[in-house]
Amino acid sequence: MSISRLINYSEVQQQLTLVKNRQMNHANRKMKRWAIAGVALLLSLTGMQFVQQPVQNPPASKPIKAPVEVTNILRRACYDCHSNETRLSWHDRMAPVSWLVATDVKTARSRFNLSTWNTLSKADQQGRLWEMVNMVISGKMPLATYAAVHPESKLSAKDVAVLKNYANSLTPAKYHDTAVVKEADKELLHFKQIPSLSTKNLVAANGVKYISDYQSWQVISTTNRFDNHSIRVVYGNAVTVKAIKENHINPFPDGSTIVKVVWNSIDEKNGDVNPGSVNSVQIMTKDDKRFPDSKGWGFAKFNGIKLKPYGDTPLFNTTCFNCHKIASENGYVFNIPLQNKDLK
Amino acid sequence: MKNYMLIIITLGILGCNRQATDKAQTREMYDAGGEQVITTFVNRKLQTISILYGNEAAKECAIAGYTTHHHGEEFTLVVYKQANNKYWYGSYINGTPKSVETVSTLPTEGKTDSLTYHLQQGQAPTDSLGRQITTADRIRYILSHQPSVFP
Repeated sequence: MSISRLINYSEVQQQLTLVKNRQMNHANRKMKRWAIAGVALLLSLTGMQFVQQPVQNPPASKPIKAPVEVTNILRRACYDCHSNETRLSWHDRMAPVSWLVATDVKTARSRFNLSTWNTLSKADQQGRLWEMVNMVISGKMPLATYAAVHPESKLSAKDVAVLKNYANSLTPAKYHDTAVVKEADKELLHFKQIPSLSTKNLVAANGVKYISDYQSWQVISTTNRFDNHSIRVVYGNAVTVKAIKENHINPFPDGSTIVKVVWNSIDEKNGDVNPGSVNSVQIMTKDDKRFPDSKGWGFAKFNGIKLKPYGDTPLFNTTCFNCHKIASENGYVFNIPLQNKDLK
Repeated sequence: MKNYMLIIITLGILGCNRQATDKAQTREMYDAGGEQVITTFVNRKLQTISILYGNEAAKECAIAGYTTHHHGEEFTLVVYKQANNKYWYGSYINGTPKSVETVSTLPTEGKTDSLTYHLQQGQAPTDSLGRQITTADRIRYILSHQPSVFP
């Protein structure tokens, strides 16, 4: 081999060695970066575990008492979030999953708690039970994220029927309720003498004012309920009526206002249901700036013939909105007229 | 020429379909004009939901117990089929309109303040055995409903 060839070969060898070294250094740097990232992640995950306590289970002081077939369903589908008997698997205790679980459980318990159920009045228990049934029927409960990891929580048609029957059993019709009849007669007599209250300064805690001229508005629907034995006429202002006619209800435009007059119903055995004493006048008004946490809807309820505002603080607005979430497809309004395609 | 005809026909069909879709999605509301609600009532066995409207004179007559009638009273009864409320199990809502009937005291045939009945829309209501109800009985029925108290 000539000397010039030997020199070239060794130069090539040197070049190859340099390239290999550069590649190894690059790979080593890359590995170092991954190792640092891995350690950082491990340290973060470890640190996270100390940031928030996992869910605690206070005592079940006043648990719900219901037939076994009902409580079996509630335990399977509801208890983990809506009671003080939350069962946590190992992954539920690991942050950040534990943070999501804790938030969900805190929110759920604030809506209703099956472990302190009997601290509620009978009327509240009935109201919450019907809300529960409707959340289940609408598919909003159990939460899809929960059901994905706990498939046993999914409710069958039979489970839903059991819950419906139970809810119905708690609020049977009382035919010709003489208390409601007498109260209605008294109110009508008084109404004949003094046709209307002064409602000038009537306002709910969240700032929603009473509306006195609703009777001249368009009636948008009439409803009657066998869950709480009431009958209603629902009025909409011009903005609401236009939105309904044009099907711009999701969302309703700002300025939409709905007034619902609710009477306690007088149910008769022959099927007649007539309005009795005044239950309340309820209002929904849309203002995205004033009510950002409830998709723009401000609620108000004025109870009884004397129109006493419901709710000591503005927070009652959230309670109303939580139930109205069931009607999210309808712009959060339950009682708009049916579409022609749904009429039978 | 043939192509133009095809385009026109296609546009026509699409237009008709669009109108049909719009109609299917429409939500109807009965416009009572200047009349206001006197009361609402239901029969769950017959599955009907009704609203009785009236002008000012009619409302005063109702509050006074329908005992005396004056000139210019106009009552309108709108009857619907009861429908399930899709968004709340536990509630019924007014569904398909069945009839619109009026009772008024507009003068007719030289008489004043007589009660006259008209079936404005839909089918004449029948009794539980499916028999036609006389005009007099129907007027008595419409004007038998206690007015609701509106705060």
